[in-house]
Amino acid sequence: MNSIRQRLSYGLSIALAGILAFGLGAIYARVRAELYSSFDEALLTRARAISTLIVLNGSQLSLQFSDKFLREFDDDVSTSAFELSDANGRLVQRSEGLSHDSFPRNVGTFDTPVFTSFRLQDGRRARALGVSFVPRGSTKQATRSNTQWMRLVVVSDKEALEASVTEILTATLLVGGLLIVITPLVVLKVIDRSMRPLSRLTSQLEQIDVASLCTRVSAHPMPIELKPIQETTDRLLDRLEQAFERERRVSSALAHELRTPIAELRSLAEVAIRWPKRRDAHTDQDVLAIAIHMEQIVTRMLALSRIESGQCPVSIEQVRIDTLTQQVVRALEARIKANGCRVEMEIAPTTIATDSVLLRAIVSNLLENAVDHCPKGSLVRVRVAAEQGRISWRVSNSAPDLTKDDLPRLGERFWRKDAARSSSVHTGLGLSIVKALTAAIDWDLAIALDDDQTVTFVIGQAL
Amino acid sequence: MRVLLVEDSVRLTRHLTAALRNQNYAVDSAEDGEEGLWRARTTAYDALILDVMLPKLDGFAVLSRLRAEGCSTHVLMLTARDAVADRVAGLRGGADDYLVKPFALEELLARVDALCRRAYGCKSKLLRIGDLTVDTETRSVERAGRSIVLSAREYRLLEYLIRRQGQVLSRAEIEEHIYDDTASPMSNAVDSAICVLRRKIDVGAAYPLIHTRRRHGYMAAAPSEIRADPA
Repeated sequence: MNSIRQRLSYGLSIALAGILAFGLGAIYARVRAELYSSFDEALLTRARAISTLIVLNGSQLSLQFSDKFLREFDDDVSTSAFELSDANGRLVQRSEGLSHDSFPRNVGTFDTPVFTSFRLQDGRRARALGVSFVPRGSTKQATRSNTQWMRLVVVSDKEALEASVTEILTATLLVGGLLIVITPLVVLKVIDRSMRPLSRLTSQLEQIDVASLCTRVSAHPMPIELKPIQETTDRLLDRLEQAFERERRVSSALAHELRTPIAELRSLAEVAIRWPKRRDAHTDQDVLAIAIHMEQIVTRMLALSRIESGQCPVSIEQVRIDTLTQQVVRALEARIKANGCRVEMEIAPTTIATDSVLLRAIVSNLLENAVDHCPKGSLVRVRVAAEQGRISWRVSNSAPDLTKDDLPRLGERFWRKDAARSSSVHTGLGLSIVKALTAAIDWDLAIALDDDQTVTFVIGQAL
Repeated sequence: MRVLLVEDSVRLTRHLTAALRNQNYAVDSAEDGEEGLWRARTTAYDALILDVMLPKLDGFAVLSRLRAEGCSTHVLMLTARDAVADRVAGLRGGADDYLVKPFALEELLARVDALCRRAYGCKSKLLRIGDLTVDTETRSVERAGRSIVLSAREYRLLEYLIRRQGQVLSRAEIEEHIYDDTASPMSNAVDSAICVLRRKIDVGAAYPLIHTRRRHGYMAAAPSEIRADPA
């Protein structure tokens, strides 16, 4: 059973039914005991009354029963009777009521009376109280020798009592049954009512779609039990909104990035088709250049996607970072010359365990950026050092147009300081790839802009 | 008609320039906002095609500076930014039209043509002067039912004269509107061009349409519009 509602309904119904049954049973037992106790008390009271009316005058026994008193016992339809006998068991007096029945002979004293339940000849249920006592007027000696003790048995029909007990039992069972039937319904109602906030929360969440990710469920009042769910949901929505916003930005930037090459391609194709005889000699080279530029964008996007989704295998080996840097700088010599800048290296021989391919990609991207974006004739400084328990690789170059506000945007996909995106060499994805790759090899990346407009990229790892 | 194309994509500039020249426009180009602003300030173009995202100075800034200086040249904004806010910003900033990249070449040419027509208060594609008709769409010229074949430069000259018909145009003014930076007109280039054009449209015709105003320049006018030479 996976439904909390059902589980609560069953559990609470069974528990409440049990409690009800036990409670009603206890009440019934208590009432029944009280009724029997009252009945026995009435028998005892009668026995005491009879005993006080028996007086011994010397050896003569005097029974001082009034007519009114005897009428209660002597009536033919009477439900009570008594039997008085002496210490030897000889019958002294018996009321006329229940004259055909024989009574139990078990007797006790008034302090420890003996009650006996039995059936009368006509099948009616009756209860008898047997006591032995010393009548008033007895001598102390006779009392001690038991010769003047009397035995009194008082009997009463208890059909009325049993009928009352049966009625109470029936009422208890009826009420108990009814309550047990009603209990699950009440429980369901209460659970439904209690779970309304949960339904409200569900309904709020159902209404949230891509267009309304800015909705927050904690804006609505909820029971404290649901607060953690509300807060967790809102945090999840925060992350979702950010992810969607990032995706939107990237999609929009990508679309924007592709618009210009597509416009170029379309225009040159339309011009070539419309004026075939005046076909520009550069048309084919232009088509190729546009294709290469678009290929670069797509390749870099795919690479970034693979790195970010963890599909970029990391193979750790011992890497000479100084040698690697020198190789990358040599590969960029043509660009360094074309851009008219100089590269100054201060690299100590350092070996580190890392992925050489990924590190080379990081170093290449950072050096390409430095060489291509620094002012003509300026200096690009590369420094590799192992100090204070960590290795750091840094590249610095002059960046006169860069501001401190730009730093957080470096690494944002397709962001470029030159909003015109004139360059067909850079796609605006290089630093995003650097960021993702440094994370993949567990290195850190820091970017700083000095007051003299020198931007420094530092990658590093603890040794 | 002389058009300035301010676009940072070298390839797009090259092919659009070719397309516009094939449509008989004189075309100058600029690769960044600063150069575009300078060119627009120094030459009276009939229309400007202005990219928004430009190096050094973006298209919106170029446009707002030109408008602030009282330049009324019709401007077509050309951009990869297609958001409504961008279009509204462009149009509110003083642009006359807005075209999002990538675009159909035909549409660009049609919009530039419309802007140039608007520059001279003419909405029809047909220009008429006396018994001469110029179809600006097909770039064809007819006089009294006779078709006249003109070179691109001759056509530009004729179209400019007719659009400004009834007005005396100086040589410098004519030169500015029919020659772009690739041409290096000699001092008498306009006179020579007028001479060639006259031979093609006026020789054998019932009346001349191109008139010389000595020391002032030239004027295209039907006989009913001609006044005495002030000289």
